[in-house]
Amino acid sequence: MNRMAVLFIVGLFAATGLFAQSNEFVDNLLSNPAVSLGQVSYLVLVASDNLGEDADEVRAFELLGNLGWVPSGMELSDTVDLRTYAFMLMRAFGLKGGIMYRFFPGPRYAYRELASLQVIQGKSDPSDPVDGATAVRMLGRVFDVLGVK
Amino acid sequence: MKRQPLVPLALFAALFFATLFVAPQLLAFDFGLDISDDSALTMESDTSVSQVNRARAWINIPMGKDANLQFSGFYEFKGIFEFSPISADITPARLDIDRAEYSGSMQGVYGPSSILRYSVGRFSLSDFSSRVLSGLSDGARADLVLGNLTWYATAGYRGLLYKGDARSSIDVDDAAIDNDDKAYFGPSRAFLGAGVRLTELLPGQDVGAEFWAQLDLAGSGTATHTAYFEPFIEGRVGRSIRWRAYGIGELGMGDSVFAAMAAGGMLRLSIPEVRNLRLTQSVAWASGKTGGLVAFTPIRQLPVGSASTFTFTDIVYASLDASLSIMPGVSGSAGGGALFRASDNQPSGTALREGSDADYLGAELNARASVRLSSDLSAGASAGLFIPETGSAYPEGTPLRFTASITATFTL
Repeated sequence: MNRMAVLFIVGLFAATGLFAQSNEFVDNLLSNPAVSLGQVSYLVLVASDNLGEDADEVRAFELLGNLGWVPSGMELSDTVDLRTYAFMLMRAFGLKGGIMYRFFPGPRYAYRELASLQVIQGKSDPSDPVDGATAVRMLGRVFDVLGVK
Repeated sequence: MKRQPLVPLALFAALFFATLFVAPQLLAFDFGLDISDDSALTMESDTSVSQVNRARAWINIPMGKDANLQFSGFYEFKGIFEFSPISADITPARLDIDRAEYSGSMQGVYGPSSILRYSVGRFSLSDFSSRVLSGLSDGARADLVLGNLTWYATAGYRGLLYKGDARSSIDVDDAAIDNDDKAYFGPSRAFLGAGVRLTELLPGQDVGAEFWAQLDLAGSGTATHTAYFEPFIEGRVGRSIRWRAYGIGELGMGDSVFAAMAAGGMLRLSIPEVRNLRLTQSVAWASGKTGGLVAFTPIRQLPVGSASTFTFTDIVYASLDASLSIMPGVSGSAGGGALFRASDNQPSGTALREGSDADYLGAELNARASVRLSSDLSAGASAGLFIPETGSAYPEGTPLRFTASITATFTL
């Protein structure tokens, strides 16, 4: 999907009221080749209605810590890999996951679940960094999986 | 004293699960374990049941941005049980390498729009139609993409594959190895391959040609070398129709020089709006010993149907299949086909009536369904029926051949 399509998704969600990120945040996110934990915290928590859109990345990271979803030893500015982002999406949107995920919920099986659901597409590795466009695309596909119009 | 053997087992289990859950979080690689079961029933004149249980461990290590190392090996239990008379053929433990592949790609090696892709090790390799070579091979392959032109070359060795996977059936030495219970590996045979594909020569149409050569490296017996030339064309008409066609010319040298041929085609209509419906019509022909040709002998021999025992030699097979997604995670297919012999020679399996000149051997029906219960658990079931033609080909009373199987795979 090209940049225009990604922008279309962002615009679609904004128009339907699912979330309305500030233009500055969206611009920074889409141009980032390796998004930070703070950025995806804000993106995921606002999109999942766990946080108001007027909050910032620091507040989002703080809430993520309160929810117990911050991976051990990670800081606000640390880059996020695919499996960690997959786990955040699974937790934030309450996706059930497979048998192993239910017994051992964590990034490993969250990555496999989202790959199975085609939220993660193409050749990838769980440790790959997530770029901004990919983060938005994956979020859009999670909405597809959930049937959000 | 009785508990003592459990200690190393518990330690192994603890180490395995600790590695399984902790290591992937720390290191840039992924690995896992697939556990599968395949239980099958075959009914003809006798009834037999088989079971194959496999535990496959795999690891996937990214080597930089554009390269990857994949390695997998497995433990397998296999048992075949027959009922008249009651007997069992059990292979309690088979350990083997499944895949060991280093693969990657390089951009701009021969111009700005060129891409070089390569694979080395044990990996899946096939010709265009998969009628000459398919499955795993040990070797190397390189593909050079230059705009809409792709060149590829490969070389490998198949003597380190399990004989049941190598499925080599080129000469009598291969049959001897296949019948030798003590032999594990397939015949010592090497291969070379090269090909070219021109993408979108006409709108939506690709054409190409491949050359394959097989070299018999066995030190004893008859040395039988074969070579194959395979031109092909495939394309699409609109959004819904895809088609492909190929021809194969085989030239061999054993005790004498011989020639054989094969050809086939496929036409597929896809209607995604109707539960992903796909209707596939295909036909394949492999020469028999007639008209100056001999029976076609590929590098790897495969069955042509699902319930009969015929392989792709001295055969004509025409089939029609339909598949669709019944609901999310559940798919099914059903189809049927007709089998004919391509020469006047006796086909493999049950002998025809004495003096029969019938070409039609019988019909096949098959159905299968698969369900993805979760991201890590899937199951499937299939059934097939071969109905021999008993009017003029097979003797009256020749039994139907029925096969059924269920499979389940769980990924840790």
